[in-house]
Amino acid sequence: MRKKLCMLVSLLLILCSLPLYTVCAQEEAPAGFIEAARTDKLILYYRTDQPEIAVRNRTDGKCWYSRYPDSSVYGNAADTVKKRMDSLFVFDYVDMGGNSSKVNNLALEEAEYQVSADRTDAGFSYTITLTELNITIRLDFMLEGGSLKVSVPDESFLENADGLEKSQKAMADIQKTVDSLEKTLGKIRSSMSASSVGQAEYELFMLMFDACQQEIIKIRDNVKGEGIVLTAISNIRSNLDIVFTNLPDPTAYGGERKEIDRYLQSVSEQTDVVAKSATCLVSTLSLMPYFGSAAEDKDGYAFYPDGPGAISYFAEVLPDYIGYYDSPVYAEQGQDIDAANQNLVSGKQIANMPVFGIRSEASAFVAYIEKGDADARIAYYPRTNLLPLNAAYSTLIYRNFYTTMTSNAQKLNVLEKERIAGDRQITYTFLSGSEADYSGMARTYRQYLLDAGMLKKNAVGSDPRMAVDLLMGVRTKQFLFDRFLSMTSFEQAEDLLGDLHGLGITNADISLLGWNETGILRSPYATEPAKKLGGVRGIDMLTAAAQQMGYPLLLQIDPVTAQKGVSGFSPVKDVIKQKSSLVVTDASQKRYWFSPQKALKRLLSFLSPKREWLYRTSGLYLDNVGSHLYMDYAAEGIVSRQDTADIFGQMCGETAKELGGVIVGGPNVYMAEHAAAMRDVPTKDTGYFFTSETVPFLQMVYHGYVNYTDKPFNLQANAKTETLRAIEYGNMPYYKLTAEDSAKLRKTPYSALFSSKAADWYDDMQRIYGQYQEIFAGGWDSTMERHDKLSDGVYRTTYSDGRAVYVNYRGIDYEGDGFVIHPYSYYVSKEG
Amino acid sequence: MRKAGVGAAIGCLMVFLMQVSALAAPAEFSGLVPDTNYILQDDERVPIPALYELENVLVNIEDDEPTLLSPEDLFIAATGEIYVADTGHNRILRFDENMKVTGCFREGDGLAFQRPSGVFADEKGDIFVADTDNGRIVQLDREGDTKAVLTEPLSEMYEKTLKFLPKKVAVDSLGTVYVLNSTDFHGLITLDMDNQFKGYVAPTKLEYSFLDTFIRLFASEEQKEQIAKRVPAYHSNFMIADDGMIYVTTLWSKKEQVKKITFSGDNVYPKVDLFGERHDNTRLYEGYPGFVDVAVDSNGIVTALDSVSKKLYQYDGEGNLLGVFGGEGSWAGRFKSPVSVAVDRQQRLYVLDSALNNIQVFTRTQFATAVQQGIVLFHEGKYDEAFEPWSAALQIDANYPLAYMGIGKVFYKQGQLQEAMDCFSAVNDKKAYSTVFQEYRLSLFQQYFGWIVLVIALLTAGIVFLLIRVKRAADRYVLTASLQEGRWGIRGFGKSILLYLVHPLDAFYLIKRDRRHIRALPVCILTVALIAAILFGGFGTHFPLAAQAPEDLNIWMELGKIFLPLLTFVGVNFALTSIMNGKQQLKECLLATLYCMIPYILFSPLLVFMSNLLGIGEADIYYFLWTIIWSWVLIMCFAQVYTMNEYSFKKTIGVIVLTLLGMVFVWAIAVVFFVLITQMYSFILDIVREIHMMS
Repeated sequence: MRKKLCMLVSLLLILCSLPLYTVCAQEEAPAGFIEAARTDKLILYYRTDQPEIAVRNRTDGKCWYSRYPDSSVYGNAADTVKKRMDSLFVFDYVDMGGNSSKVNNLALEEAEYQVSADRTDAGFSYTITLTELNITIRLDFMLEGGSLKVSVPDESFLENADGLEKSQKAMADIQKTVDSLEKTLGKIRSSMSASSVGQAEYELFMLMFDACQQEIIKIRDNVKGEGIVLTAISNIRSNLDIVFTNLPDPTAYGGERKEIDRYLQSVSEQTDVVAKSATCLVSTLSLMPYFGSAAEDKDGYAFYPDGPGAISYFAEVLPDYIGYYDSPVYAEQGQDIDAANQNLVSGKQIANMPVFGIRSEASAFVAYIEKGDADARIAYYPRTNLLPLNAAYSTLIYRNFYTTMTSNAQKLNVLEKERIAGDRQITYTFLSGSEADYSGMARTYRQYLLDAGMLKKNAVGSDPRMAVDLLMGVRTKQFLFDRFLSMTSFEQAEDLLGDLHGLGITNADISLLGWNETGILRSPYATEPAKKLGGVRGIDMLTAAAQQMGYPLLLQIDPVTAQKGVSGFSPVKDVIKQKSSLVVTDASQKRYWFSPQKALKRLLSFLSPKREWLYRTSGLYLDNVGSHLYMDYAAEGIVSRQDTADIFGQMCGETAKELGGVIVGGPNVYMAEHAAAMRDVPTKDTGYFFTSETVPFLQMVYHGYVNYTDKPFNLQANAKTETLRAIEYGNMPYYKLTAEDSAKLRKTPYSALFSSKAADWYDDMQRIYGQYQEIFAGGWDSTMERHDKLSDGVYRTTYSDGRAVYVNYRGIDYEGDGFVIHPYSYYVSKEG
Repeated sequence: MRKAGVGAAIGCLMVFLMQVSALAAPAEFSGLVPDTNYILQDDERVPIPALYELENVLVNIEDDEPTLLSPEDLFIAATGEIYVADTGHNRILRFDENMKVTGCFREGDGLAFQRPSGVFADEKGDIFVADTDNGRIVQLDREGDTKAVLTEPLSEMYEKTLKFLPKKVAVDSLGTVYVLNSTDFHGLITLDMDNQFKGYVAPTKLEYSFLDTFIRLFASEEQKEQIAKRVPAYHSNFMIADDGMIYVTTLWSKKEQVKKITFSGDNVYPKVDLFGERHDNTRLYEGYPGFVDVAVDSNGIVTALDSVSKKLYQYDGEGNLLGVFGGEGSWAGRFKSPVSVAVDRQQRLYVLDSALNNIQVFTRTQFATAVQQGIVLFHEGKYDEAFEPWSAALQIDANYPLAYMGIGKVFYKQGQLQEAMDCFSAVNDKKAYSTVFQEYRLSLFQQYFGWIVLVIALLTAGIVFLLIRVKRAADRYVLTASLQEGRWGIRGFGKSILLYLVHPLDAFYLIKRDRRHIRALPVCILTVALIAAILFGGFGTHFPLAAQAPEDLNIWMELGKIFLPLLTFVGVNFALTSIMNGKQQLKECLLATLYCMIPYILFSPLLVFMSNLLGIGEADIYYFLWTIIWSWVLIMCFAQVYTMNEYSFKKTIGVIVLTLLGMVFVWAIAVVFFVLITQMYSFILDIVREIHMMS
């Protein structure tokens, strides 16, 4: 019995210790790695022999590597691709000493480098010196709770930046020294004659001097080529040795010989300076491009911020030509107005949040750029035969290119010498279990924004609100004087609001478009209400009526763009400049972007307390500030993209302080802190062929904090699906209306508003408003917690108050758990 | 001398005015119109709601070779099955409606396919493959067994200079095989199943080129030979519709880019000026579209695929553009190298891309469904039923012109003529409007016959009475010389006009005689009257006869069209007569020229009023009356120069000719001056820019 008891106890002990053993076994450092730090959620490992890291999620045991652990999946990939996949970072650089407009792309493993690792409090640092390129980068890895923070401190990112000047000076010195050398040699040569040194020697000496001259030419032509110059110096020395040793008097020319030695020594030293000053400047740095990369994983996917968010499953190998996602964050880099406009007309989306994520083997991470997000790109490369891993990463932009003119009047793109200053930091937060999906990623990112104060609850009210934009006026082109076409006068707007109120649409935000003398689309905006619409008196009456009916009334302005031919700005002083101090304009030289400071100044002047009528409105709708971001080489100093974002934020802040509310045009996340509502928040991604599904990531971040709209409901081509999409994504019901018939707009610049007569839409508005009340009443301000695909064409969005909204895009019924959703319909479960 | 100086000053003023007017043209403030989903109105893109949305993309297929490789053709059979010529993989693929592969065919008659570029399948499931590089058409049964092989025809009638490289194939209900051979401009080759050549169908014609004709006049023999070698544009693709009509696309053609060929070989598709759009790269085939395929659904909706813009242009059976969509890009709804388009029974469009190696399947949006239903119901004669989908389309896009036209036609068929006219005028359809207007006019005439006859009679009597009174009064003024010197008040001025109407030479003489007494009043009155007449013409002309709709009217342009030539005439004429022993002073010249415009001032309003009783069918009468007015004005100009300067008849002609030449010269100088200024401006701007950049 005792024996049996002992056995039982032993067995129990073994059983109890098994999980512990398993955890210990799981938490062993992967082969070749050593532990750098650990928290209760993560362990960080690194290698000392080569730059490579791994992070273990202690909750689920999943280990994430910066280099895919199984190189057998590389298959027949090209060597350069393999090197990329093995690298801790990949970068673009330009050799300023050579072809300064040629971009070289190099993976770390393709370059010659030295690496040293140093432990820090919560992690470690790699200091990597690219020996050939004379660049040193320090990467700090640090664990904080469930997150890994990877940063590139600006002060430790060393490029031989002053090398160019040194090199140029040394090259100039070489030329001067060689001139002196040539003179001295010429002096010696001219002092010799056949009679003084003998005929045969004289001829030999002349040959030697000619040879020296040839070598001098070589030096002059190849001042950058260290090898050629040193060989030439050596040849000159040996040629002169022949001369001086064969002189009748070997001690002759003593002074000149010393002089020549000094010159040659000087050229040799300066050549060394030139060689060592070779200046390679980094333009971009892609950090850990293959961190968490995955091969086949049917359940795994990458998330990238295309439109509202998109995911691409790792299920199959895609064709080589399928393409990839590589988008600048917030706006096109550089100062290209045409590129920005082209994206608008082609529907290509730009990343509106600096975030991406990977789900692999039922575990996931979400990565977001905490520092330096305004100058970055997000990329996703799907797995193809050429590239055997799915990878998502971010690229940090350190320098932009600018256009300059060569001496033969050719345009040339040259890299800026000054680096975009500031530390860079990317945070990887690891998720497991039910958190390990795009919903979890969105919640994590939202929490980060809340903690950082970058997302605030500006949208108020627990009942859904309808957004109504009223197009007031538009100017149309005419021969000498333009015509102001009134589409909704202030008086008509008053009647229209009365109608809405009568329909029971009591919760609505009204914004007026083209309310001023410039009308819609023309900028810079005029600051007074259009007389043809009713002037100050008219707008006063309208604001009073709106106030009485409880509608906030906001005025739309575009503080960003400016157009040739519109008064109110100087196309020289008020717009952004290129590095060459020329103004930035589009190909037609008609469109400009306002200098951020000037835009702010203009807005502050507009917000003058003297405009009493303005202070009776509820705020402004600042168009384009959430979709346009650019830098300005202003005379007063460079305004970076981050500065521009800050200034735009300041504009929102000032408006909110003075008038109360702000609607922002554009979805970029840096505006979430300020905006009560956002327009043009996309519900569709670009539609890349490798994208498996569109997901409401952006909406999950914003809902409950910022109200948002996409396309007006009155411009939908497929109302039954587009309205469902708006419901699924928690969009505000949104109408863009006019009192007059939209046929009047047909031949105006605003012809895209092809169906806007308010009276035609009242029934629809009333119905949609009713539906929204039915779905969201009492919970509009709750946050969006989950989004799930239940079946093809059937989705569920779950909110923090337990409400779940099901939508069915299929042509057949969907039978859920105790409920049926009819085709192109929805169902709301308020119990969760 | 002084006169010459004044003349020169006027000339300069003209130049200045022209410049100012050109410079003052405002910058274009167009909104950013998306490069897809639009229609064309007066060559401008007008956004419309999306016609199609992407339903599915076929990228990977379940086969040994899991992707397509440079596929060239896509065909949807009556059975609903989809066939793809996967040219790069030398195979033909058959898919079911769910895009699952149900067959893969790599050879025919024991010979592997070589770059098969065309495929067709009949109702039985027999597959016809244009096995291009093997130079043959292969007929396979459903299982892939060879049933027939057709090769290069042996007939004498067949043109053998071009190698037989069949690119596309189709078979009609009678079993005739149609083959598109490479770049053969003779047309489609027709064969029977015994490989007997039956002739060419739909040959293309060499387009007339004025430039070639011009060059031929001066060209050497070699050059003429080169020109002679020019061949007509060739067909790029074709399809046989359910009704047996053959729809053909022609590459880089200047006209008839899309044709609908009957059995007799005639093109019965409406002759539209240009199918598609001229693209920006005009160096490439002068910017003409490169249509590569066409799909026609059971309702006769034609969708043509342009390989240059990578867009789909959709037309109804009457050649009206329903919309444009697609465009270049490597994402959903965009194409890189689209080569084939087909439509299935559910009106879904399939587009094959040979660079992206995928098939994108598009479904109609509610908007496109409404539009197409409207068209179909109308053509079926179900006018009442057509009203509903057209209204639905207008609810989505209140500016969609075809919907207005559709509803207008419905109203017309229902006898609601005024409503129909409103619809047609809304979309500027002058022809349709005039047709309805004529009926409307007739109905009014029938309704108010008695009144109308009475009004006409009274008006005629009134006019005759007035003319007699005017004639008598004018005669009296001449006879009694009641227009005493210096009487240029309102009354005197009125009398002078009456005199002018009947005895213009006397009126001019009067001006000359009273040169010391003429003040600004008559000039002002005539100028204001002229402006009023111009504006009335602009705003009052009946819609089908008006050059522009009143809302599009540019007042300054309208005034400029009359005043600029008039003032140039005055300036140049005065300058010329000053140096050619003329007797007129500048103010008399100006006043007399304004007098010349009196026929316009008096009679153009009458004509404009009359235009409201006319439709486009009576445009000839209307324009003839205008010609009379302008002839009268010109004759008066002649008379003015003749009288005011006391020239002989011959000399007057000479001076008039010189004046006209002088006007042309002034305008040419103005244009040159303007161009130079512009060039100088941009030159200075460029220099400044370069200096900036180099610094």
